Amino acid sequence: MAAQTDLLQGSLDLLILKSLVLGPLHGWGISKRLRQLSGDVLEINQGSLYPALYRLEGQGWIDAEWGHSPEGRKVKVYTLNRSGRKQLAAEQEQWTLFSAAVRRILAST
Amino acid sequence: MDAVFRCGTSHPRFDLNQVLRRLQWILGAVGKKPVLESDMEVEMRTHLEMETEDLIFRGHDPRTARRQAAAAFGGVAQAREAAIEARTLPAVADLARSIRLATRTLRRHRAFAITTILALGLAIAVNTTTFSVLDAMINPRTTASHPERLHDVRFMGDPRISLGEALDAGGKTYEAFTEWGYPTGGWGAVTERGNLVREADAATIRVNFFAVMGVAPLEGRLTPPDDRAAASNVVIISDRLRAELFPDRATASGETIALEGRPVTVIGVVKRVAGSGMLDRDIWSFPLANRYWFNGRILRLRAGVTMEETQAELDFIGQRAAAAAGIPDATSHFIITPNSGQFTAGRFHYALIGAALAVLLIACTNLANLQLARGLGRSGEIAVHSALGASRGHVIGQLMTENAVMACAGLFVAVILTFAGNAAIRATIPHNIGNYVVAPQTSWRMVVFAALAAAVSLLLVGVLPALRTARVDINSLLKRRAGSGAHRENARWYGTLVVVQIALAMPLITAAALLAIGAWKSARPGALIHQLGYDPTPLVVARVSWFSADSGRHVVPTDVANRLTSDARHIPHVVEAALSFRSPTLHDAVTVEDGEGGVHQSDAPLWQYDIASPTYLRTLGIPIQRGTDFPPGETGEPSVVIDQVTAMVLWPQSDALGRRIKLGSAHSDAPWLRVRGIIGSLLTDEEKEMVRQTMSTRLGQVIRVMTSTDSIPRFYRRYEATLQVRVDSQPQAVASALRRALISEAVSASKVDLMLDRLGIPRRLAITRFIASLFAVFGVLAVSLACMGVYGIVAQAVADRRRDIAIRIALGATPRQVVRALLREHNVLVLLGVAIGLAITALTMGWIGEFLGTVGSIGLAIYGIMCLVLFAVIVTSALIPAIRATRMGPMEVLRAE
Repeated sequence: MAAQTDLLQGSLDLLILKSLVLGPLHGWGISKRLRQLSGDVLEINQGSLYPALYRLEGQGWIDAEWGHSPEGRKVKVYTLNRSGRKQLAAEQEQWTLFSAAVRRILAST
Repeated sequence: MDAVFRCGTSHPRFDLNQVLRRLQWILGAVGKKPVLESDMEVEMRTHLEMETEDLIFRGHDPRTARRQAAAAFGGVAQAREAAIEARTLPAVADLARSIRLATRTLRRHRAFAITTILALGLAIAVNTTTFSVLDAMINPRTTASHPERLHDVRFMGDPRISLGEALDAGGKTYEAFTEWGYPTGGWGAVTERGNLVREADAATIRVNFFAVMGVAPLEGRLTPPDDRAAASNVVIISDRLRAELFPDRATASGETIALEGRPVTVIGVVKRVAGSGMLDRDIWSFPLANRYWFNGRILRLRAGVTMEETQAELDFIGQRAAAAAGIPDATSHFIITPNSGQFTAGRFHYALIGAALAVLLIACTNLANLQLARGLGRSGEIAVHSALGASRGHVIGQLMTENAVMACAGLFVAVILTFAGNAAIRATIPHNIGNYVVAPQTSWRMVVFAALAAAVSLLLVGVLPALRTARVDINSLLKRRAGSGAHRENARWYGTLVVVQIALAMPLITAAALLAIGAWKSARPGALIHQLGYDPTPLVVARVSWFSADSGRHVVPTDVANRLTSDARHIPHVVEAALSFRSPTLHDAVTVEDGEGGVHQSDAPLWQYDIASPTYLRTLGIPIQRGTDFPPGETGEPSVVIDQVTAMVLWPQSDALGRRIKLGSAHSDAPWLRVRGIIGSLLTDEEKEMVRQTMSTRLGQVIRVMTSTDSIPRFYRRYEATLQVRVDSQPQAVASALRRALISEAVSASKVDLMLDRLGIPRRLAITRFIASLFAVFGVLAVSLACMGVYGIVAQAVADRRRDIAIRIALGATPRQVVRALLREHNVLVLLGVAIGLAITALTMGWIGEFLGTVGSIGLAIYGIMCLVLFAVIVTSALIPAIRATRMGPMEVLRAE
């Protein structure tokens, strides 16, 4: 089941960075991996995916390089770099704090 | 806990490396938009294909799979746009969007945009051209190598100390030393080639002058032959003089020209550099005499030498030279100043700057007016923007972007017009205009200035209207139709701006009119006779000087006069000739016999009288007002002819004619001379009145006939006298012949000019004409802009009140009544502007006063006439839209409302 609500703003960057921890991926591969990892709960709007990828590349957290898929298609492959790993760690910590805070609030009512 | 969560995109901490990396990434994309777009196209298409294949693999039919994949992706174009934006700086992206929008808006209002751009371009160009002229004077572009090492040195000590040789011996702090001097008879020298005669700025220089200055020749060479006699027969000329004397040739080296009648050979040509002292000359010659008295010294310092070191060395050299000359002089010292021209701005330059700034201000106020009118006309559109969520800052930003686009276009136009203006000034600037104006120069400073002027204009033109326009009340504007009262609300602003424009235009057109009248009056044939008391046109005048071979021998002036005047009379077209020289009185006093037989002595310090041939007055054509002229030869009782002022000062209570005067103190042995005639005075009526009131001993002209016992005065062992020659035609040809004749005489130096040139009248006239045309350009621009402004506001008023006007016409108002009603309130503004303009004019006209000498009493009338002209022109420009308003059909207007 795909999520009906929009992704929480800002969380897309975290998810993209996380999806690249396991290895380099092209754009479709990232969206596919996120869907699989979330158990088909999260559906990434492709119109947001590519601007986000360019933005992350601009921030210097991921590197992009043209390559070929196993099927021989020309694809742009994104890799998480060292700076991106640091950023991921920081964002993951923030997210944990945030989600715990939200859970506590929801539990109290 | 301090953690704060923001529900948005990630906000990275500031990291300089990261910022630089991002900047590099963004800059890497500059100019590669097509490549980026094509890459994204490939990437997104691949994405869609993979998604489609995956869906087919999961059991969807191809058609459904394609549809679902496309639906999941969303808008490809939007995604691409968003991705491109991610690769640009947000501010740059916003700016680019604003500029695109502004350009589109301006294209819709083409007439407005073109008017604004042209007016702004013209106003900026006027300022930039003025700047280029002043820049050429302040920062002359010298051709000297390492000009910063060139220094003028002045010796403050006993003039008998010979420094040339002492400095030539060389020094540790300077590389070389050279000297320059004034040529005999002043800076100007007459050069001739065939029928071409040019007055040229001249200098006498030492042979090493150009080598020390480090100037390269345009052609030929710059060092004369070693032999002094040969060196005195060669000259170096400027490129400007070459163009004037050799219009038919590209080179002048090896050619012969005449310098003050003396044939000389041109050995080289150098570039004339405006405003750079001794390089700002037309002809450089080498001294004729063995011991030439130079006037200035230039040192080329060694690299890295400080001023203190040079000062110490020069002072030591000075002391040593003083000791060698046996003149112990402990106070002597040198003053060292940079050789670069020292420009001092005069009142005229402030007038020029003021005029240019006034044009810019008028243009800016005018455009601000137009902007305001147009902005309010667009208030409906702006209200819609605001209603859709645009903030006031956003609206102001958008209006300012439109202004910035126009300012940039105006700047472009201005730079082109400045080049044209500079070329026009270079082509029309009179020669020898001296310190007033020099030909403009093009430099990077000019472009920077134009950009600054555009920026200032942008602020002046844009800010006020943008603020006013953005302040519109959305609700009231949306409720009512455009043009229903907006004008009335802003009438105060319109009024102020119109008054400013007219007030600034007034001094400019008045100055232009006064200068034009001054030039016209001075050029009239009768004006000179009125001003001088005689006609200088048919006169040739020569200042002759010669060294005394034997200082003890008495030079008989009458012999000299007879010889020179006889030579002159042999020249065709010469009618009369006279020699004269000036002499101080004995004991600096004048003694007169008063009416009652008493003797009265007056002091006359520094005053000199004229000793002349008997033909002096006839030669100059000075009419005798009362009494008689001198008879030919030394006959009868010694007598004088005096002018009105002298008569008034020496015999205030009685008639001077027939009285006796002694040109010396009462006890001196100077002879008594009878006043035989009275001539007019060169003083103006006002000056005569001042003399009458103060009764000072400021004597005018007294002329006595030369006798064989008189002594011609000597200056530095040099005799000096003036030869006046009257011609019946062709004064220029007579001047050339006289130059040659005087050289064959034993005269060591002479300076022959037309009397007109000697008085500096053509030069002055050319300067006045040039400055008048400059101010005419300013004036015409200013009045045109002011008219445009008034036309604009009346047109806006008409547009704003078309409903009222239609109702009036429908109720039976005649066209005359409608026009009168429309003009009434604007006439008050125009009158107020003219009144303030008149005050500004009165305060500032002194700045150009030095060029208004001949305007005289009609100056006041010009003020009045200019007020009327300005009023009439501006009211006429207001009439056009007012009359157009009367032609509107009331029914159509009311139906449209």
